[in-house]
Amino acid sequence: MHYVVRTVLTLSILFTLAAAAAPSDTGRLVQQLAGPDHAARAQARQLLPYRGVEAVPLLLPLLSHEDAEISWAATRVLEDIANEVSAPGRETDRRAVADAFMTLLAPEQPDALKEQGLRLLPIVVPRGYPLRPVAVLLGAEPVLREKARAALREIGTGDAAASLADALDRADPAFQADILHALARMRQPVAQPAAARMLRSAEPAVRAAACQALAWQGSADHLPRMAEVHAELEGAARFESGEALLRQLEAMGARGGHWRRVVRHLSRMAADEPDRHVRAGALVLLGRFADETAVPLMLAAAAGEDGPALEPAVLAGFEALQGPAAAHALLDAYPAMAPSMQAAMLRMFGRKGDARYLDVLKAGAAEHDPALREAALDGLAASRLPEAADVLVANAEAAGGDARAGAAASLRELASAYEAQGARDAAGKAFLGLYRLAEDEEAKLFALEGIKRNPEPEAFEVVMGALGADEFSALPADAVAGFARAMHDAGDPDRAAELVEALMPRLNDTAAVKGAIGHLGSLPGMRERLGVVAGWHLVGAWPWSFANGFEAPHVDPAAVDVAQTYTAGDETLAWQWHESPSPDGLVQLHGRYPLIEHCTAYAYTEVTVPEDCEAQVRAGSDDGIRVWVNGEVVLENHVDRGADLDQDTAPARLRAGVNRILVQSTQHVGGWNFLLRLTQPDGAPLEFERMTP
Amino acid sequence: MGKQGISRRAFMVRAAMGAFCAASAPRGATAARPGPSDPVRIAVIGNGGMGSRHIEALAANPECRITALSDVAISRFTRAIEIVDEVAGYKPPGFQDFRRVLDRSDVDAIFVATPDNWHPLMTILGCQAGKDVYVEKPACMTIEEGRAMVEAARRFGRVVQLGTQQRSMPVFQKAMALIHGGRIGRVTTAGAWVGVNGVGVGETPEPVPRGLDWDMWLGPAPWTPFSPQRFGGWMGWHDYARGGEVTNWGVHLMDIVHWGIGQDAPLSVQAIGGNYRGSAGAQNYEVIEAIFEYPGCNVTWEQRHTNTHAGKSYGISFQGTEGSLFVDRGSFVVRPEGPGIPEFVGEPERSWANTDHHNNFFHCIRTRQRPAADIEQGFRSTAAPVLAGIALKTRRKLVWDAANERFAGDEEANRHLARAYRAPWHL
Repeated sequence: MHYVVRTVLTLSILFTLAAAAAPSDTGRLVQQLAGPDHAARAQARQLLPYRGVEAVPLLLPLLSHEDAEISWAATRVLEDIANEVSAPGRETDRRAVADAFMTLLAPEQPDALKEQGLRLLPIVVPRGYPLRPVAVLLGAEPVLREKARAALREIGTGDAAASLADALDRADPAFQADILHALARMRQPVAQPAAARMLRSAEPAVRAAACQALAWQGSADHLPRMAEVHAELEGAARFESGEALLRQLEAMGARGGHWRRVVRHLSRMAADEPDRHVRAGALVLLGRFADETAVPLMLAAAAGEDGPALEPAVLAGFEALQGPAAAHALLDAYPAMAPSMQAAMLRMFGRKGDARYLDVLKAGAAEHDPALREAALDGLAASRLPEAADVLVANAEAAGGDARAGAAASLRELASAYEAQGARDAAGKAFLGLYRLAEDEEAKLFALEGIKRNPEPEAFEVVMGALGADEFSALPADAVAGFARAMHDAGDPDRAAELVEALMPRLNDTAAVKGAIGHLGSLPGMRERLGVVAGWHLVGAWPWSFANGFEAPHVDPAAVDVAQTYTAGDETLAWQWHESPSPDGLVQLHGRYPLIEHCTAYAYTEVTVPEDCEAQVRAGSDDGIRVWVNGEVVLENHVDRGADLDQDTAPARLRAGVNRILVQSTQHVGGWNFLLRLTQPDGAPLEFERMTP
Repeated sequence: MGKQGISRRAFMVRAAMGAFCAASAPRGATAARPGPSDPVRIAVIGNGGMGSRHIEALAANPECRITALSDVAISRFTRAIEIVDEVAGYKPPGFQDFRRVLDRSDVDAIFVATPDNWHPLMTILGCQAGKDVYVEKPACMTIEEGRAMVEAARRFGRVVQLGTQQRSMPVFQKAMALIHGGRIGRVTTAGAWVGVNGVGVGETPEPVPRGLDWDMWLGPAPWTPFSPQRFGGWMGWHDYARGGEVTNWGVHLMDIVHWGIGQDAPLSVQAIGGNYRGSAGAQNYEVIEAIFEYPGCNVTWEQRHTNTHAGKSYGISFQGTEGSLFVDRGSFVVRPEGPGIPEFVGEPERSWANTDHHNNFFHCIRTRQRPAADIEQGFRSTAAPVLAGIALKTRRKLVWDAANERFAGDEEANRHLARAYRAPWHL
């Protein structure tokens, strides 16, 4: 009562201070919150939390507002304020809000307000804060005491646990059990002595709940009495104490230092426990903590009267068993198992990913029994063992009908897994198998991408040997380019060159060339073979207006002389040689000249062909571009865009000998560059000699 | 106490005096593991909403047989029985108390399709009773519950699958394969978005309708009088759904984000949100923006009134060092286009109950392997939206210590990681 008086006084002071010092709009916002206008209420709901502690005393009266929506809105704001002041560093505000909320628990308050207080307090009560007003309510009638119990459980501190523990002796058995269940989750050591006392309760349900409250800590001191309690109990209470004992042994096992005791208890429970559910749990945990010596006991459980029901637990236990001795014990036991158990074991062997199981898995894959064969193949796939690749690929390729799609899906997963674990040879084989199985373009490309990324020499042999000429010609050009690059990087330039030669006739469309440039463009001589013109004399920049488009050129297209200079305002402009470093020959003009916007520049080069021929100019530009070949405009595109390969194409006739190419590149704003290729009219590579500086 | 007072007190007294062990008392027989060709015998708990969609799909699925139904509303399981009869030609028994389902030895597995409030405990009780469990998302409302679910699944060796069915949908599998194959480079940002919560305003307490076990509906949540708004619109209340859409669609979409970026634990989370249209008393917010920091990747969650990124009302986008990928249940699009598949249009989604996901669960029941949406993974996909919800409530940036499943340096925020269960229910 003393504490309640103190908090009432505190609240009164807060009220007074709030009335005197609060900005007037806090009061207006509270009125808005309680008003009929939903939009204004929503606004107040948003703004009031920023008023902090000063808003609390004005909001508390709204908790009992007859309009539930207003009461809820006030609760929401108070929750926000409580959360805000509970941030680290706001201890003074936090305590003030806790004091204010505590007044809701005063004896004279109606139960409904007390319940609201019990929902709000857990947010804000600090450590060390007196909880007696809450603890007092543990002695109230059932509805309120339950809310008080819940509030203390949510506060969760050692103080809260101590309050609950203190109430145990005064509570009736049902409430004792409820308190113990709360303590089980709160995991506060301070409550352990009181919970341990409850192991002596006359009420079975209380003793079982006490086991729960103690189990989390895994203290070996409590184990004997908990085991006694479990042996004493029956029915539902026995399940609860058994489940608690499992938790206790699990915690002890995890802490270490009591291995023999843990395994001894678990073995006893796995063998003799009358509650089948607890027994199942013991079998699982036995696998987690025991060694190979537990295998016979676990097998006996699976073979016993409850065997079919316990089999999942036995399998889970087997899966958890670790170490070579356990592996040998399981392998020794396998032949005598029933076929349904064997099938499950094969999958489990695979999931263990241990090469010791490889032989039995391979043998299973050759079984006549389709269930065993399927299980073995699943196990091999799950094993991710590189040694499994051959079997799986062969099986997948031999599969027919629906099984083929399943095998392909399995192989796809396996190939990715091999790749992820760095088993490149196995990944290459798996991707190749997948390629052969692929029935759509997407699957083929997926497989080819995988083969490219796993360029082990053996994978090349497989690829080169397996893909006949017809099949090879059906490969996407991008994939071929990727293989070639992978082979080059793997130190096999001869076969890389062989692939490039096979590829060249097919590089007649932009997508293919783009892929080839991406993979091969940085290799010496490759971009030239793809028609890229990368060496240019450049001069610029002149002011230029996008509005005016292409006007008379500053450079005479018919008589370009790279020794000539030009005047632009006060600037003297001279030609400079530039070799693009980019695989696609992109000439970067942005930043090259003082002008960076609304300007233009020129590029000049010469190409030599042995005889007259029809050709195609393929250009990309940021922004506009105009191209002259031998003094004649062949391409003109006044545009504001970003550059890409082959955006514009135009026919051009090349003369035997030297041909003069002039490019005007215009810059509106942003990026500024261009790129250009010369090809045959159908887009195929054109052979020509380039200008050098 | 008002008009609800008598029944409320009567319940509490009954609960206090007679139902100590109601929350942890599996009494039935553990079922045997089904053989390769045996249909898996299942019970569906929660027969309204999503539950009814599951029932329609499961009744037509030869991989399983529905041997029991359960709902707190008699009218719902009665209708569900009719649906099974119409689709499959048999009538499974119905129960108002789900524990009667757990007692049955002819139930190998349970489907939990109740409000979120019940997901963790039913899953745990199912595991304890020797059942495998398919539980709808979100897995849990708190981090403590999620961890307890994983522990129960592992302690009793059960198969537990979360209803994040996108894990079993080809459109997502193909999209993820592209991302993991490096198609868009290293993913450095990802975002998910969806429309707003439908947050209701106001509540009218009414007598509990005949045939509805309201106390069982509330379960571990604090006792409160019946109102049709809570019963029908539970997703707006914090006691039954912590976040609304952010823990509903948010779990589906963040699950894909996790899958794509190969990470499942944020480093930090911060969020803002509100109900700016007038639902001032609502607990779950309509509009929410959350930012998660993952190792090497920023992730955003957007929940807006009109939300049409790329013309899509919901979806997930990944931005990598070399491109971007958008995906939803109908299609995915990769930019920039290039070799491979720039765009994929999958099969239209026929039902939220996904038969492939169901069958993955049944396969795993038979083979005892981890399912496509194993509970550990499902819990982590649930955890991220739950953490966003806590950031919303605590109104500050929170640093997540994933190894210990605690917020670093913020013990007060850690109080939001658990909730008190109403007695006699307990984890």
